[in-house]
Amino acid sequence: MDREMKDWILAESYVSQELTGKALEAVVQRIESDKAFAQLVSECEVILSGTSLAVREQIRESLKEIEQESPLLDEKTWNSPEVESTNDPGMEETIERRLEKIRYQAIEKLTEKGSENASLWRRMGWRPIAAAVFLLVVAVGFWLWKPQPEYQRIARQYFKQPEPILNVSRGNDVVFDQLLRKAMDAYVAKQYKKAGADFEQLVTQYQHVPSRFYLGISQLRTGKTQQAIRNLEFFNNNSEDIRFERVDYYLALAYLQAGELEQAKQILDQAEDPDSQALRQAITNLSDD
Amino acid sequence: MAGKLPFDGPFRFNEGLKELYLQHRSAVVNWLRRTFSIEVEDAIDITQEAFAIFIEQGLRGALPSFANQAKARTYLFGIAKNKAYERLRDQNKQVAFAEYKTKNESYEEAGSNEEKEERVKQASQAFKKLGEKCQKLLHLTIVLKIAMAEAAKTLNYGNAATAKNMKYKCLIRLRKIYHEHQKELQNG
Repeated sequence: MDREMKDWILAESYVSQELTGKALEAVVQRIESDKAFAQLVSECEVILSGTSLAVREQIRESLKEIEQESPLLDEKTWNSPEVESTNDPGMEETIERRLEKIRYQAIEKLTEKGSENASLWRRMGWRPIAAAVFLLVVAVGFWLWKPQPEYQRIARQYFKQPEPILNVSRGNDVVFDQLLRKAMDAYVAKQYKKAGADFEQLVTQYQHVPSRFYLGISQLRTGKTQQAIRNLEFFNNNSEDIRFERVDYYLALAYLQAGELEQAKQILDQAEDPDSQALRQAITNLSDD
Repeated sequence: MAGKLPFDGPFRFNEGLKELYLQHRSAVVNWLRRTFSIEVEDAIDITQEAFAIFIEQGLRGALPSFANQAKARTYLFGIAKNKAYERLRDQNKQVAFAEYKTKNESYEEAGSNEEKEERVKQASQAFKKLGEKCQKLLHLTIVLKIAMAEAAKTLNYGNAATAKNMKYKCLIRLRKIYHEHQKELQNG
């Protein structure tokens, strides 16, 4: 690592307030005695502040779009007593929780696979592909020969397709409406692989929260169990939308399908509906065998 | 699925952002209008600026700890008040605030250093010129403050050391773009 890089790392750690104790003292002394380093620290400060400013501008742009989509009340109602207490119904989450949600969704967006996968394929060449095909043939043969575990059979037996959501529209976004309709049509026709691909696009490109639920269901049905768990866990931790109140049931099915029987049972512990109780009993019977 | 998606930042179509803004927007805008006697459009603009500062600070862990929700909102209102005062000062309007204090370092860069502000603006322009990979990495590690190991996994860098190395290369590249930008401005 060259000198410039080392100095940058030190400057950034100092400006980001990550240094403590002797390390901090050493940097402070160096700033006082080394003009060039002091200049570097000052520059680093400007650059990190510029990064913060760029982020704020991005957030502002998004808020402007939100304002256009959901404009505030007009002037005639400014003096109305209702204005003071106007909050969207059901949005009483704490500010901290909302910030966590913003953070989580921002990270999700930054992990979009598009360009990374394209460059990965270019680098891999044909050999790994040939090896993958060979392994696939072997795996399919093994799967065909090996009987399915009982817990997977039960997971399939107890699956009931959740109702689709229909007549959802963003009004001014035709592309979104068409994609959602296409996804739901495939889902209703039980073409889960096709539906899953479209729901994934709705989640990553439009941050459409309900699509994440249907993505999880599609993944559950196409054997992408771990991904299904991840998406359904989102609703377990983040959403109080009553449309997803049965998410526990499907999350339990996902854990069951993954062979995690205890986890599946724990999720169903508090459920009182007949379906959840029947599933819990089936898992208990399986554990007792 | 469609091909490569354009990278338009991690905050577009962010449901959490929308919910937070819509939850508190009315209160801030209404308060600004009453307190400063400003137009609706200006109040909304200032509110959005205040939210942007609040959220950006929140994401990188720079907000103070709030004992309760009322204190968090008071902080947000404080940012909005600051911005309103700056706006009115810029518009050469006289506003009387007996209790307003000019000391506002606790939640905003000091507005008196115009030269530094200008350099920061130039640095933000430089950030926008960075490539997509660098922007994503810096978003994750500097803005969202996620651990290097997680950033490495997220962006397929192999390991934390590689991601860290890449981060500093991106910062050096950013610095280079910033210097080039400054030269362009000086040369007119």
